[in-house]
Amino acid sequence: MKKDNNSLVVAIVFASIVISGSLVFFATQFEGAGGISESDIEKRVQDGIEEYQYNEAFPLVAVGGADEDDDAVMGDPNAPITIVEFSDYECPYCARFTTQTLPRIIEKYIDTGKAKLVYRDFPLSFHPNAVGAAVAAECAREQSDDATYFEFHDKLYEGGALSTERYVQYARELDLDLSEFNSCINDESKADEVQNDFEDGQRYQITGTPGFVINGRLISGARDYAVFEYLIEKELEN
Amino acid sequence: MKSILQKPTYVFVVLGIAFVVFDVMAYVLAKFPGEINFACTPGAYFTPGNLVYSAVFSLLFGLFVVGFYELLKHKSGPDASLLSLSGIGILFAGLTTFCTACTIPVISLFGFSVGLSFFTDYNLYFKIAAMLAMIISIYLLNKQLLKECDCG
Repeated sequence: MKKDNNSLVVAIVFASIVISGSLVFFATQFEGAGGISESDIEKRVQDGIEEYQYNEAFPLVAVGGADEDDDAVMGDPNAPITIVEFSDYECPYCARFTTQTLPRIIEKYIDTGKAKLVYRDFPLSFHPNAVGAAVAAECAREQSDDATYFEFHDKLYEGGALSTERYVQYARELDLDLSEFNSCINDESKADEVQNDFEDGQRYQITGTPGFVINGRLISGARDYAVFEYLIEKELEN
Repeated sequence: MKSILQKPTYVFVVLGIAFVVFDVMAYVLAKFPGEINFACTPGAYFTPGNLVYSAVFSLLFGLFVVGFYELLKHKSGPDASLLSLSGIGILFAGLTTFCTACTIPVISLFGFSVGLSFFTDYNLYFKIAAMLAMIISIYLLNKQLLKECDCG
């Protein structure tokens, strides 16, 4: 009788070990065959939250990127990242972006062929000289190239009140044909081009200056370099 | 001030002035450029916080005008400090209801160009200073009214 009991205990222990072992084995097999572990779920939730926050912070306003029109481009035309800047020459925050943030973006992304910058005009109604300055920069480009445009652009953002005298002075400094330049700045069609940029900006939900559409995603304002870096890196990953 | 505010006529005048000033401030907030995320944006300062600020400032301004009128009625000129303080309050409040950096980035004074962007960069501090200047002005006005005609 005692021997029978011992056998029973051994049998129970054996059965327990086999059943537990089988359960563990099947559990691991099930997980490996497409089951989701807790850490996976956590990661997916975290990814979802990050994606949501990313879309909230940088809404997609132009699928496939914003229209570049025929505006001045800085950098490799085939770069994977396109930064379309909508700016106003009389806006102090645009000047802040141009003098403080843009040089770092140029160094890290534009000069290395990762990004290109397209400059489009968004003259605000309360800046009376913004359209004139935008037209003058277009006239400088017409006589030369995009590089000259950006040289003129940098001079306009150097500071001081904007005026026709200043535009002519800059044209002289850049060795442009002054008579051609003078007739160009009075050309109505150039103002129409500026207006076209403004309307496109409104289409991309630009409400203030500076405003940016980076690979179709909107950033408003002269934010810190880190914000631009984050968005560009994220877009490069994608 | 207490005795002034017991007269219904003055109360209505205070409210009337406050409404006019508030309307002007609300118009400026809605139509003039404001600053949001370092971008010049028309109407960006039209926020609930700024509307409350404008309402409180307008009431203080209304009180000040009525007190000032009462003081002049008793043929007594206000203190220079009182006038200066209220002037500073009005100036600061006026220049912080819109983005000065976006609207008038630079002004020329006596041949020197002065940037006004600090009004935008330190907007909150200038708003607090404007409010304090108006409150102190009203306090000084009240003190003078009590001294001159015992009608504070």
